[in-house]
This record gives sequence, C-alpha cells and structure tokens, in this order.
Amino acid sequence: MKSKFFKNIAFTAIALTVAFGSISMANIADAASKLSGKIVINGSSALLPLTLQAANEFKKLNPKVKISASAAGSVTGPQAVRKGIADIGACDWDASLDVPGFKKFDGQVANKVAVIPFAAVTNSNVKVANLSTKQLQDIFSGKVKNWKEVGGSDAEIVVVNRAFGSGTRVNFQMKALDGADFMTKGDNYKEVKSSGDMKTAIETTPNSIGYMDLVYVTSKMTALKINDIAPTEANVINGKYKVWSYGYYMTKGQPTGATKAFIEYVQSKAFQNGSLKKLKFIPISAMKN
Amino acid sequence: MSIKKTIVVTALATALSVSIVGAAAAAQTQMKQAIGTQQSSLSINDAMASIRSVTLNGITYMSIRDLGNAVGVYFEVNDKGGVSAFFQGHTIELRGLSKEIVVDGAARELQYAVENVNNMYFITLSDFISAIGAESTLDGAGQVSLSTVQKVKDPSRVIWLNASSLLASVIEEEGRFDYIVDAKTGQFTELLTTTDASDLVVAPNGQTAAYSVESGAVYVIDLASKQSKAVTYDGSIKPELVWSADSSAIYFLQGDKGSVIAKLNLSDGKISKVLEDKVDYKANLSVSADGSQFHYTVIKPGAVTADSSKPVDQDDVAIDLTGTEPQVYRFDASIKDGKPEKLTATTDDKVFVGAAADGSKAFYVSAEDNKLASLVSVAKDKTIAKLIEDKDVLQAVMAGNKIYVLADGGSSEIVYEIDAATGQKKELSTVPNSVTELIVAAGAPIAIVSDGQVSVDNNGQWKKVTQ
Repeated sequence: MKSKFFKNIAFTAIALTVAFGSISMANIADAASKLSGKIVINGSSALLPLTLQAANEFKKLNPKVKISASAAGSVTGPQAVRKGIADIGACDWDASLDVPGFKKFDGQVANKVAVIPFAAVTNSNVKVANLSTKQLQDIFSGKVKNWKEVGGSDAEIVVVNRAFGSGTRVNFQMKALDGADFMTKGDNYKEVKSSGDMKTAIETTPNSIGYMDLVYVTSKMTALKINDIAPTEANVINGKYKVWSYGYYMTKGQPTGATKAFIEYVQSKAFQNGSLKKLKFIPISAMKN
Repeated sequence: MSIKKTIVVTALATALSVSIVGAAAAAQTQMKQAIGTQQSSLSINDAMASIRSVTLNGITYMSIRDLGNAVGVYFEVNDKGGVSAFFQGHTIELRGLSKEIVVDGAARELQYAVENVNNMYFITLSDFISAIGAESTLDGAGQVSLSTVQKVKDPSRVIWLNASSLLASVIEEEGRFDYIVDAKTGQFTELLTTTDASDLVVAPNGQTAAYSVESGAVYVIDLASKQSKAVTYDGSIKPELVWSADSSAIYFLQGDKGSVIAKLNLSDGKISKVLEDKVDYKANLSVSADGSQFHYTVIKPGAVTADSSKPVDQDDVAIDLTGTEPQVYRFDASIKDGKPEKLTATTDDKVFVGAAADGSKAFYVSAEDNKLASLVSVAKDKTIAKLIEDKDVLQAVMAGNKIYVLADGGSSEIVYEIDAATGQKKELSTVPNSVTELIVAAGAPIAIVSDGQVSVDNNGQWKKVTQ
C-alpha cells in the first residue's frame, strides 16, 4: 500500500531565521530538476576538461539538460556563438574586447569561469630552468637558436607553437612575450592544434620549448621560471607571476535558461572550490583584480 | 555592545513577571490584570514544555518567561524600561506594549506588541520564533514543534555517513568545512577543515572517508578520531575516488581527462593501473563488490572543422556533434588482456546512476527531446530495459542494491524504490514539488532536499537537519 506519511508532514514548517541575519540562498541542489534544454559549448581546449566535468555534475541535477562540448582553439568559441552553432564559446581571453590579432566580438558577453595559469615548458632534456622575458622573446622569434645562448647545452632549440586562434597562444604572446611576435616557419619550428598535442610534442621532442596551461605540465617536461618567478598557483594569486588569464564562457548577450543555469553552476562556490581546483584551475574569486 | 553581567538573573525573572518594575517602566506599562491564563503544550527541542498562554482579542500570546526558560534564553533587565534577552550569541531587547524589538542593535517590528498580563510579559509564538531565530513545524495532528538547535547552514553537499549521521559540507571562499550531523536533531560537530580537499567519499565500512587535495595526494580520515593520514602523494589529477567493497583500496580515474582507471592500495600506498586504453573522458566509475567489474561512461567531444587561414570574421567553423552522447562501458578485469565493452550506442542523453554490486547491470537516466526522462538498465549482454518510463525521472540514486527515484507526479513528486537485481518497482511515497533531491544510503532513512534544506524521515515526520 502506498505510504502517505510524507503527505502528513506539513511543509508549512517554516524556518523563521529573520532576526539573526539574512537568509542566504541555499546552494545545495539549487537547480530545478525540471530544467530542460540543450547547450552546445565549443572553443578552448584548455577549458574542455573543466567543461566536461561540470557538465557531468550539472546533468545529475538536471537530467533533461543535454550538454555537448567540443574544442578547437579559443577563437572558434566566440566564432561558433556568432555563427549561432554554439550557445557558449569557451575562450581564454575576453572576446568582447580587442586583443592582439583579434577584434572584439560585438554583442557577446564574457562570463568568467576560471583562472588559467600558463607555463613555458621544455623537454626534460633541456638544462635551463629560468628564462627572462627578453630571452623568451628571442627564442620564440627565432633570434636565439641554440640552448647554449641562454645557459644551456649546445643543442638547437625546437620551438613548438600553438596555431593561430589558440587562446593559450594569445595569452603567452601578450603576457610572457610582452606582445613580441612569434617566428612562423623554420626547420626547428612546429605548430600544434591543441593543448594535448602540445603536451605530446614537448614530451617527445628533445630540446623543444613550448607553452601550455599549467594543468597540462607533466613530470616528463620542465615548467620554466620566467624572470625568476616559478609558475605556481601561489605566485599567480600573489601577483608575482603574470602569465595567466581568466577563462571565459562567451555568450550572445546575457545567458538565459539552461545556459544561464549551467554557467552559474560553474561559477558556484561548490564547483569553483571543488572540482575546478581538483582539475588544477584557480577559482576566479582567488584573484584580486 | 557589552553585556552588563552584574545584573543577576533573579532580577530578570522579576522583570519578566513585572512584580517589581522601575517607576518609569511601570508608568509606561499598562497591565491587563485578572485575565485567566491557560497552559499550552509545545515540543521544544524534542522535549515537551508547558507554556502559560492567554488569548486577547482572538490572538494567543505565550509567556516570554516560560518560552525563554524552555529554550535557554538568558534575560536581564535593561535600562530602557524593558528586558534584554541573550541567546546563542545574540541580544534581543524588548519592552511591554511595544511592537519594536532590537536585535543585535538593529530595530525591527513584531507583528503584535508584547502584552503585559497579570504582571507577566506575553508574546505571540510566531513573534517569539522570529525574534530568536528558531524554526517551527506543525505536524498533521496540529502539534507545534520548536527547534533552536543551530544547524549547518547552506551545505553544498550532504551524504549519509551511517544510519544516524550525515556528512554536510560547506564550501566558502576561505575553505571547506565538513561536519558530522546528527540525523535526529541536526546538531553537528566539525570533522574536517581544509582549503583544498575534494568531496569526502565514505568507505563502505562507515569508519573512514577519503579525499584528495590539489597536489593529487590522497588522504583517509578516521571518522571517530577525526585524524587524517596521507596514503599517497602521487601528483596525478584524480577526478573521482571509489572505494572497494572491503574498504581496503580506492579506485580512481586518473588525469585531467580521466583516461586511466587506477587502484590505490591503502596498506602500502601502491598505485596500479587497472585499465589504460587511451580513451579520454571516462567518468562515473563504478566497481563491483568483487573488484572485477568496472562500469563507467565515456563522452566524446564534438568534431570541429575550422580553417584558421581564413579571416576570423568569416566564422569558418563547423561542429559535428554526431556520436557525442555519453555511452556506458563495462570492463571485466578478471579476463586476461580483456578489452572494455561498449554496452550502449544509443543517441539518448545518459546520466549514470550506478551498477549492481555483482556487476551484472548498470543503470542510467535516459533523456531524449520531447520525451519523459526514463530509468534504464543495461545488462552485460547489452539488453536494455526501461524500469520507469511512464513518469518523468528527475533524479535517481543508488544505495546498496536499491535505486531510489524522484519522479514527476504532477502536483507532487513520487519516490520510487527499485530493486536493482529484479527491477521490481515500489512506490514509496509522495513529496512536495519543492523537493529537488533524495539523499539515500543502505540502512539509512531517506533524506530529502527541499528549498535547499535537508530533512530526514524521522518516523514519518520530516525533521529538518540543515538550514
């Protein structure tokens, strides 16, 4: 027989916590389970693991929201939003503003979702642990071609660059190279299309140098100090290490419906200080600016 | 505001009964005398209390002194012609015949003025509850219960620790706070405070819980002694931790893409790979009781075509989302050189629920456009069966060999219990539409999340255990 005991409980039971302060919004299972919709997210490969983790968690609370994600470099995020084939463009820069190489995407709103530290990395056979901004500029422009010119062994430097359109590339150029240009061709020059490809290239190419999100750094490579500052989360938060950016979810205007709910989930304290940190991103609230 | 401790409690009792009042206060206070009082029965903090009450103009008022004594309020006469009440670190000032009270220095208004009857102060129950920040419930029999137990506020996650305790986690900017909550009273004690711990995963033996930190290290905390011990300092990312049935090992997905299934032995801290098949974005790992059968989902990102040689403003980008729906996989580690098997290939969206303890079936919520979300099982032989398809499934969670389902019942939601072995469905109850989540564990009562607050089934009554 069907139990009715739940019905006997008066849900008029009220928490009258008025006097001792405001009633803060509960953050457990805020999302309405009946929320439905379809969200397509495209763009930054750096943000893809975070997006998929968030989608998996969000869907447990909202099984009727379908979330599909893809990545092919940051610029394809706001492009896909502008074209109307994605609801969210994951991008490693604020694409509502002009940045070197890219004009702003009019009408798009940048929703901060994470802090992404970037690191200059070398193959583990390289015996250099620190480079100055000038040395990095010279290496990535092709002016310095041998590791011995910057204190390393006598070996030709292999420069691995991300393809045009990468948010990591935009940020590395702006913040590690101080806006200086990259070399674009040469015998010891490679371009890769994703963070994963960069990781593989650096791990397997002796004497190589490249750059990537800190989260992708492995024990098979060296993350370089830049101007004697190590690329650590602590140094990003305390302002000493400058090569980082916010990760953004770009939307066409202010987000609504399921898209809004998903972005709010990613921005929630629980996700920011839980799964996002576990994936080695930095919560947006950690930054003072 | 400093509290004048020099005034003794006896002065207070006097003030509350107004047998002696200062001249100024007496002048202000117009007593209503010779009105008969009744005794009202209230459940206060799970104990019955007899409270004097009066009815004036159809409104029932209760003795402030009786209510205060029952909940543990400390009273003092103040120099404003009234009394100050001290309760749980707060100060409330009130006066006879006045609607105004001052809470922690801020004035606010009661619905009804405090009455002075037969030399005693009386207040309506709702105003008293409001003033001290208590919670009240009214059961089906009309019994009012009042609780002043301080509860965990705004937990981000609540799970069962055992049949009588819950684990409530509060995440703030400054860190993470995990509390053990008494499931009957809501009283709580701190278990763990950290800046970078993951969600705690309770061992099947109920004695320990595991968590990872940002560095990748895994710790196990003893729930009784509250002492944590590192079991590995391995730096790899571990998105999910899953206990073995005998609580001797922890399985985890390894790497930011969850590509590898690994096993961490607690006795020696050694990590071994269970499966490394170069398939990224595994999630929702489930391990059978004997540790041989692994179920998980795999999600495939969409394929993007973009020509970076073309001007950006041409938006030369295309996304192919074909085949990106999550699929359920099974891996039998007992077969030498065995390969994972893809159990599903359907285009519905899948929210993984869990797998039977013997690894014979996995369960998921299936969602498709313009259809009710259904609860589905998939067997080893890839047979798919719909366990609930006539109601919109809002949530499904597994506890032992039972699946508990919250389904849309129209004016209210329905709670079902499904036997994972037989698929037999039992309608347990109905709950209000405000319920968004069920919290279950084998052997524990059902808890619900309604309007963000957790309530536990306590012999047919919902007892709120968080704020």
